[in-house]
Amino acid sequence: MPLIATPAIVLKVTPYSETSKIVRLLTRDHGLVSALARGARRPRSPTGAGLDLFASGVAAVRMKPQTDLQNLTGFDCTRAHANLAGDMARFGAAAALTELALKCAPAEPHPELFERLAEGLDALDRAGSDEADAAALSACWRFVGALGFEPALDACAVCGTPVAAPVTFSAVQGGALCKAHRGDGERHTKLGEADRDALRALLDGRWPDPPLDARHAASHRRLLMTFIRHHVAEDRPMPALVFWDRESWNATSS
Amino acid sequence: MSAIEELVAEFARLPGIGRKTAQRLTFFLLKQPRETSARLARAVAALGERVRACSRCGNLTEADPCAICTDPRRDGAVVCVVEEASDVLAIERAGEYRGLYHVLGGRLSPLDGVGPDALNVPALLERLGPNGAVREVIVATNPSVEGEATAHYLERLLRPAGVSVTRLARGLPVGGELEYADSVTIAQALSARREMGER
Repeated sequence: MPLIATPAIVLKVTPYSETSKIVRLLTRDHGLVSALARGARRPRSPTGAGLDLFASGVAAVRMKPQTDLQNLTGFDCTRAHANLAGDMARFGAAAALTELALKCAPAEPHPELFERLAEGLDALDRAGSDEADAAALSACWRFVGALGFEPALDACAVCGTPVAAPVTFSAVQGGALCKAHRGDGERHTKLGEADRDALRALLDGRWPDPPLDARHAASHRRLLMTFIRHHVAEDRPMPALVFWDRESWNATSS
Repeated sequence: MSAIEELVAEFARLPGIGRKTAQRLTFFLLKQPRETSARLARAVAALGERVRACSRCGNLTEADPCAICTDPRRDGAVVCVVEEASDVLAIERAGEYRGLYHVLGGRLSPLDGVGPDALNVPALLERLGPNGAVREVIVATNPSVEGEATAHYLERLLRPAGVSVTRLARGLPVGGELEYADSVTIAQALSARREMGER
């Protein structure tokens, strides 16, 4: 049973027995890993306190062939991301990003996805309150892009014909559509020049200029959610995405 | 399904019990006098019939309101909010706290679909209403990310009610050694340090 050490992010923590935890990790070198952390619920466990949702660190895992549950022998937490619990919108966004990794990442190693998740959680943790919406949207769009589903913005998603703003955007078809492919009866979103630039900035990991106000952030969130439902989530329920949208809206309306 | 299979399946639904342990428990009961199984069955049935949530605090009780809510020696001006009824037992074991409790019945967990609507929050706000005598709410949710998010959510709701909202301290365990503490705990212990001599 080889002992491996790999950068890892905690995606889910489930209590197991009186003293242990089962964790789901996205690791850089070994993809998605489920592992039993024996004794991690004990107050003096060397791994327990840092082994929490959204935490980044280096995991030491004893890999057993032919089993889905590995043994976590250590977790050296390097970033706990404590700020992510500070407000509902940020917490919901971090959970939605984590849910994408948990449910949509391939089981095999995918270093780019790992980096996107790590960057996204870091950016969300650091972002000021006026930047949190943009940081969350950018992190999710970039993760979706790394999964291979980046939306087409400058050319028709169906035929590749260049399209100019204002763009007819179809979350279902995967991006901008030319005149010939705007099917009747399907719901589209009109993206003006500024909206398209904002979406391009989010996909590139930049904050839109001018910054997104609450109404535009909500529109971008809805677009992202529809896109994820059609292309990434398929029929899987995504409760954290729903939580994020509802709590972000509550935060701006209260 | 046979009686054995049925009991194995029921045991296996319990937390921390896999199929092998469920089988071991079932065969253990089969080897015991019949009265042992009957006593267990009666205890399980009584649990469902007699135990319910206290209508004031949400703690598990056989009498409603619970013994803690009706105890005149307890300080009704302080309410300690916990995630689960088992947390009440843990705090009571310490023997230091003399106020009342409020059990949320969980914590915010977006990945499990647990939002604010799933928690016992409306009853807490009702206890703090205009005629309420509550002066302080101690938020004693777990020091995990989800517990912290729940604490922040409660703080936002409770502050307008004009009560003092406090949080349990975090840091090094009593009897522990600094050398073996993890970096997260040391960082929290440092940020929550206090003047010596303060109580």
